Amino acid sequence: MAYGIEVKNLSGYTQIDGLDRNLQIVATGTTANFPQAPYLTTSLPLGVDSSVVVFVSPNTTAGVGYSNTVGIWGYIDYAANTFIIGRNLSFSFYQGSFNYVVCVANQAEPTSGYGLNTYTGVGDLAFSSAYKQMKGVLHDTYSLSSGGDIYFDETSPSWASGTLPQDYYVMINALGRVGRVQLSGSSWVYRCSFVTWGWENESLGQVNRIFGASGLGLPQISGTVTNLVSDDTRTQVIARSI
Amino acid sequence: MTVHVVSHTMPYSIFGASIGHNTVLDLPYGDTVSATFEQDGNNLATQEAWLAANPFVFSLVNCSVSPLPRYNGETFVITPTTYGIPYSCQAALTHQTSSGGTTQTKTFTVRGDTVAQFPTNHGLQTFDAASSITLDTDYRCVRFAGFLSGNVTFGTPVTLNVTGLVNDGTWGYNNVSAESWSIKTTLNSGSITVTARASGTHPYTIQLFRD
Repeated sequence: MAYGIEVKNLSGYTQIDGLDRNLQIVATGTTANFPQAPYLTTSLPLGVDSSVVVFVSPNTTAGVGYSNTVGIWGYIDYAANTFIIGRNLSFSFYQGSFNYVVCVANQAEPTSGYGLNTYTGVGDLAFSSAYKQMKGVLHDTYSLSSGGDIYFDETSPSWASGTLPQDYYVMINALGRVGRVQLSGSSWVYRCSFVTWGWENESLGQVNRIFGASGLGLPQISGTVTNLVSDDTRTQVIARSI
Repeated sequence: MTVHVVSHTMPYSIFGASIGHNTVLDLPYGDTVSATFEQDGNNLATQEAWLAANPFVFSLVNCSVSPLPRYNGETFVITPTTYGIPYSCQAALTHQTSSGGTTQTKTFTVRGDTVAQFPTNHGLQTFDAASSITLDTDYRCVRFAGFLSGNVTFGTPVTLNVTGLVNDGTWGYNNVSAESWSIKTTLNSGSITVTARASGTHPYTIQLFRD
């Protein structure tokens, strides 16, 4: 760092520096209930730029899907200024809504006249105390080709006491369709970078958890014609909005 | 958390005088003092009886003493109340002279500076206008580092140079295309390689961040 302020958290991770702009929360909301359709589209606020990161979490455990889970993929449609949440189960899928948090690095200059603002070397607002930050609890870079699953549950030191799966948001930006299989003719199924929230299910011996995120059959692949899967690397951030 | 030992004995030759003794001892955070002060009574019954009859009287600044009461020659522990500011412990012992009548006072003082606890809590805590925390000391934050887009043609990989990029867990990136099976991205030191996995030309959009 050549100038400005640098702050590290108590684990040694940089919170603020003089080089990069913090992704700060500029909007929060709740989507519509998930429709009887493959995906749900939600508009982003006007003015967000390509730095936009969207975190989502199920809004309620009521009506969770198969085996007490909600599994999704998704992406940001930059051209349409929307984000899409797709279902990764073709049956018994969650029918509730999602909470979402929109973060950008092009946040507007606050006008309150107090607090703390920091700037990059070229004069861009890097951090402002006027905007909230997401609290990252698990940052994981995984390869889609190696099956590098991530697994975050109640046994994790970062899992706060008394919290539930829906208290943790995942970053839509890390999700997406990463492979496709042609079943027949124009019938395709896809593999996805995905994430699944799972609630305690004693009959299955599972604790509250979030699971992801390498390629997953959607549904189980039985086609044979074309199978093209990305070898991408992705970075997922599981975070809390406090 | 060191216990520093301080001991001082005033000889019998000054039994008949009032006198003070000072020890200056600075204390790092958490350290305490084990102190023993004695006026020599020369094993004379009368003098020893006088000394044994009256405990130390303490004058304390930013510290406490235990146990209490303490008599001549007994050890006690001095513990600063707040580290980062000076402390002073004066133990006064008053006894009659060897000939009786007048009294003499001996003072034993330990004093010095103390060092505040080295901060183990790092980070920054900020609030918005509604007094809500917007950043706390244990937050791990994501910072935007770039958005890279273009096209890649099969057989001709694209190398995207990124200053400072290292694969050390503090950088993250995502191919944020809705459908990305046609390309592969590889994280290198200082660059990202984009490779087409199918014939033709394919767009790529990569969002880069620090975390």
